[in-house]
Amino acid sequence: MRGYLRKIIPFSSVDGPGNRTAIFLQGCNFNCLYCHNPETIDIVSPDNPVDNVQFLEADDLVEKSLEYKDFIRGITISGGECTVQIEFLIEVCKKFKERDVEVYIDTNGHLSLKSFKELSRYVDKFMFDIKAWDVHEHLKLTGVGNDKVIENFKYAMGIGKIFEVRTVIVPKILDNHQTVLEVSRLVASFEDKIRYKLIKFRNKGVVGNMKEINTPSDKYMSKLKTVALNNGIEDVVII
Amino acid sequence: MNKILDIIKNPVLTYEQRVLSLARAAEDSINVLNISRETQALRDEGVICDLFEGHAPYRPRYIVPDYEKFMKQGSRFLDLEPPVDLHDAINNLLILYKHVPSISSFPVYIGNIDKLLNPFCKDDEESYRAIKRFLKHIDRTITDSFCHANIGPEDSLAGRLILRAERELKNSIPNLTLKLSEDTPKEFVLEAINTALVTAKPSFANHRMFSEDFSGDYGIASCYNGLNIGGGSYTLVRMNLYKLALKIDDFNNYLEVELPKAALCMLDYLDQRVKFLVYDTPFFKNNFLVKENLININKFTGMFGVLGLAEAVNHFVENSEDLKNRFGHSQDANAMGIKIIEKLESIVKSHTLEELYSSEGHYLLHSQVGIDSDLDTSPGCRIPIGDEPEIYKHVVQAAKYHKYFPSGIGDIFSFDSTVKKNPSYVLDIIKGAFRNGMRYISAYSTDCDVIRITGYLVKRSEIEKLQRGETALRNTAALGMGALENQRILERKVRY
Ligand code: SF4
Repeated sequence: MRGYLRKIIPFSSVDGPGNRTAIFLQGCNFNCLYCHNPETIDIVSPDNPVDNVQFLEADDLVEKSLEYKDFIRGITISGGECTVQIEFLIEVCKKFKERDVEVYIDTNGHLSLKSFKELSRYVDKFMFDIKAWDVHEHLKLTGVGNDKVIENFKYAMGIGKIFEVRTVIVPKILDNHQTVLEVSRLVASFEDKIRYKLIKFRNKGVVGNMKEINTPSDKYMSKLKTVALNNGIEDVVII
Repeated sequence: MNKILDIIKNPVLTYEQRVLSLARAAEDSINVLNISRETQALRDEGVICDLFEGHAPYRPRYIVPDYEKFMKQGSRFLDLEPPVDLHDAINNLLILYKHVPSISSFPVYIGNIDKLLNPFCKDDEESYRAIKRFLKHIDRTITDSFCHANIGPEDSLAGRLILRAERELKNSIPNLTLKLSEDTPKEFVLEAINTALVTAKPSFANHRMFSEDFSGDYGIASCYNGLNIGGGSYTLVRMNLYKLALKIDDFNNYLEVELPKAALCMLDYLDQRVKFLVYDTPFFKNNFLVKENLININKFTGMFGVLGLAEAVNHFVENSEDLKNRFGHSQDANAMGIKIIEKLESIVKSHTLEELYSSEGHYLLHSQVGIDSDLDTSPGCRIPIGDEPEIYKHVVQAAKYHKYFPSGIGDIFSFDSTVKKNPSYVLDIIKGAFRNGMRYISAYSTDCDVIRITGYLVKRSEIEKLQRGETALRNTAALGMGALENQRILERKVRY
């Protein structure tokens, strides 16, 4: 089947371990206030054509992505939000696995548990965003609630398929402390030791009121790091 | 005589640099080689250049002593017993280094130092401090960046101590190469990459490829030159492919007529140099390295260098102001590059000189890194700085040339300092490059004080000293300063 591709970055040092080819699918089911790639949000449909998007077969996507196979550890599929095109995504992941390619998925986790379980069969690890713990806050930030996000995250933790969990720290707007505390507690309740990445909000590229918000200070970030460390996470990274 | 007085009065030379310059001036005051008119014309035009080897070669340009043998047997001439502990081992090596000749009079190869020292190392701070002092001693006394140490391909305690010390010392000397094979443990390679991202070394040699080309026993000397252990290279002369191209408009004429003509002149010149050294000087008869079998003439070869391939090709390309038509970007241009090198390879391979014992009577091709005064001429077969394509295209394209150059070729990639967080990114690229035929690769990070100029390393801080008119300890700082100004080293494309 065919799906919508935004772009491929053949060599990426920032989308998981080692060198990876990063594949960005078009479309997102969130509308985060701080989105840095708003051009990837629009979901393509016959009534809604989007510029600079390719509509291509799963086989072709796989082929294109493996042009530099000798040089990469694996591939990472990201977005937008790649699970928006779940059927296409599953087909693509299956094909990668048939060719013995390591598959990482970068996701906001907002999809049904059933689909997520099916997808997990063809994925090595997820890089998972938990954007806010409080459901109202999550709604305000992204436009939707986070019940599915947490449910899928727990499932993936349980089967040992989380590579890292990430939260963007936005001063003033979000209760960052609560999110970091609860995510850390949740992660620590599982056996798997995973990395928690705390990402500093940066106002470059964002739109609207968010432009007014400053990057959190190093002091604030390390306070949050301490919260995570004190709650059982060993590997906390600030970027 | 003016030249001699100039050297004596030069305000920025150290004492040692002054003495060596005077020796060179003395050598260059005589003419003993039988150089044809044609060859001399090409030399005068800078098409053929012997890189300051001097008019009367009285020692090989590159000597690669068998240090393992030296560790086992000691030296009669130097009156040294084989070492029994780490301090002896280090002391013996430091003594021998002072007696290994080269064009710069500093050794260009100082051994697979991890293997030499490992039998004497313990996992303690005393061993670490001894190794750190050893490296510091080398940096401060062998003041020449063409001095090259090797480590690997096996992991070892000494190898790890060396890397740790280099990360702390951040010295430009010695240059350092990790011989990297499929079997080199990943953790060790990552440690080497972490070191390279801090201090621009080690570089990485494709062990499989070099082993095949040198039947197992090779060392990496000077910039990145593969040579037999216990041997070396009598001489290196280079051809500036660009300067030759500038005289000609038609590519076919270049390829079929002028290039072969110039190559034959250069081969003749190389032959003259080799024969003078072998037969008219006492080097291979009286040098103690020969007498004690630390080197053997049967393991010597000679090197045929080239540079400026990119500019030569671009000279013949139509509409070369458009990047997409240029070397490194267009298929046609890349094919022209390969044609030039294959032509040279066939000319060089059909010329024989008996004295090139280690390489079946043939010179080895060498992709020469250039010197500080080269203007608008890229090292060897490199894609010019400023023209570099994306890294994935760049590596694949560059790797195509590596098989032709057993005695040295290499490409350099400069990474943003954020890559330090993911050193296996660099590892994957190196492994992929080796799978695609790359022989030698260097990486550094944009925030290193030590920077890789073209093959050799220089400290930014030393260049700044020279720019302020002060004396610098290491001779290569001056080369580095010229290169920064003429070859835009700091403008190398940064990879994320
Ligand atoms: S989930 Fe990611 S792509 Fe989607 S809106 Fe949020 S930040 Fe943008």
